[in-house]
Amino acid sequence: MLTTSEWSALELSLRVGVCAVAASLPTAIPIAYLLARGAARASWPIQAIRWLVQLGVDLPLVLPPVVTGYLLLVCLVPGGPIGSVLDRWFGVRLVFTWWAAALASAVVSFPLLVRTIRLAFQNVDPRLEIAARGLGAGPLDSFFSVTLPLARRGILAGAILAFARCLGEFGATIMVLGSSEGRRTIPLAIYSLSHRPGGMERSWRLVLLSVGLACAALIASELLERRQSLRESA
Amino acid sequence: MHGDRWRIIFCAICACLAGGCTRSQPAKPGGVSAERKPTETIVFLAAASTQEPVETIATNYERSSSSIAVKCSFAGSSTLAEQIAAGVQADLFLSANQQWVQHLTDTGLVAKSSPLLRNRLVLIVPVDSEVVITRPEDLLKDSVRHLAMADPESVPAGIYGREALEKLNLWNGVQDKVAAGDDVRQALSYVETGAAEAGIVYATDAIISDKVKTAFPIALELSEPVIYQVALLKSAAEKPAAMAFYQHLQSQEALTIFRQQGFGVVEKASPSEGSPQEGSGFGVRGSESSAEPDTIRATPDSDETSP
Repeated sequence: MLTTSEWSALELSLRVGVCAVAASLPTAIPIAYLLARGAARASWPIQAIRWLVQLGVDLPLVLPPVVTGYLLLVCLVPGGPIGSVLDRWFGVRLVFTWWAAALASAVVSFPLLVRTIRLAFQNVDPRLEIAARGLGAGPLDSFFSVTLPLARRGILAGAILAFARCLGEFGATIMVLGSSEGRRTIPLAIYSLSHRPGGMERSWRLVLLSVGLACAALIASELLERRQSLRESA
Repeated sequence: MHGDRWRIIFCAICACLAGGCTRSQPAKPGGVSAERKPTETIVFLAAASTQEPVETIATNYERSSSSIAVKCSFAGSSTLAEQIAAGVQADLFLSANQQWVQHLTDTGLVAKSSPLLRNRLVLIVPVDSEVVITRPEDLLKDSVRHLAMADPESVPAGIYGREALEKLNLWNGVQDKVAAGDDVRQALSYVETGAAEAGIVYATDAIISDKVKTAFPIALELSEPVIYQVALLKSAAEKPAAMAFYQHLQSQEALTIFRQQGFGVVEKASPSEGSPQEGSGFGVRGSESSAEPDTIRATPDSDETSP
């Protein structure tokens, strides 16, 4: 059904997406929780920090992905601020590897992840946490046994949405991954085919695959969010 | 709270609109009358490696005949060929190989074409490179993690480079290291930034950048001769301005500019269609890389390695 290069594009896309989301979840959840629960009457330095965090998290949502990719590339090349450290200390060079693609996808999809999870946390009644604390649970205990389970569908929905965004990531990925045979995600493979005479006709399977994956992810995310809000209203 | 936010957004939008208005106003009085509008526009799609000379030629041409504007667009030759095949409005096409012109000729999109320029491949490394690369086999070293090339599947510079590496029996070893660019200039920039430890580009690309140096030239006989072909497209066959520019590209004036940028020129037997001849002048500017590029072999010297 698919050719070898199409399979490898699908495999790489899925791998990049899964790793990007899995790696960002542990950071996204606490940030989303802090943004959701930060009290409106907090002192101004705390408010300012929240604004800055919010700004930093949301920036990749509105930045052109190519700009995100450019900044990542500048930082990651062996002469760059992060790349030189990685190279010297660990002998790791990320540019042109799929790790760099996963990092780019993680950065670009992070705002979607945080926003969806933040909404899920906001939908959890804070009085439940207060009750848990009143019954003797510590802050971590109440978070893990009350808040997190109640928000789990929203978190899953956010993860799926971010995953779908990763599948569509192009601008930042092409900057840090380049476009080499056997190292192309689905969008990169379509782009590179479109550059070759006769390539447009050969890319329709990948195009269909993309549309299908995106629809599936959106539907799954939508269903989960709907069930979450139904539960809240019930 | 909510009202405030909307008011701010509203003000911001108003400010943007107001800014847009004031900016566009001063442009009005001067804009139309100041420049004489060219009566005819030639759209010229040219291989990325020819950007500098083609821009110079186009500017000179516009200056000498004010009624004509030459709009140049640069990309990998395969990209341009695909754009032409997809129906982009273009008059002339300068391809870094003959294959893509042939492809368009077969599809019936080319009115006439002619070989124009020569070039050669070199292996480049970043200026401050610590990796020692003096011969092709060094590309197999672990310290060379990425080899920047134009896409070896479709872009001419990549196809030639792949051919050379295949002839050297190195392709299987370096294939996984290849970082492919959309055109040869992207490969150049991969080496400039240090993202790739080495790269294969044209000699003419290597000399425009002061962030890379030539490690060694790649022997000419390792790949198909690098011959640039210029094509007048069917859609422009009836357009005198495009035909005149097609001729101009083959004039001594234009060829001199190409030579100055390091290109070789395809000598023709007759002014009409001619097959490229061997031994045409190949002036590689900046002779620091090699005095006689054609005699240096990219393969290790036979007296050293062969039994």
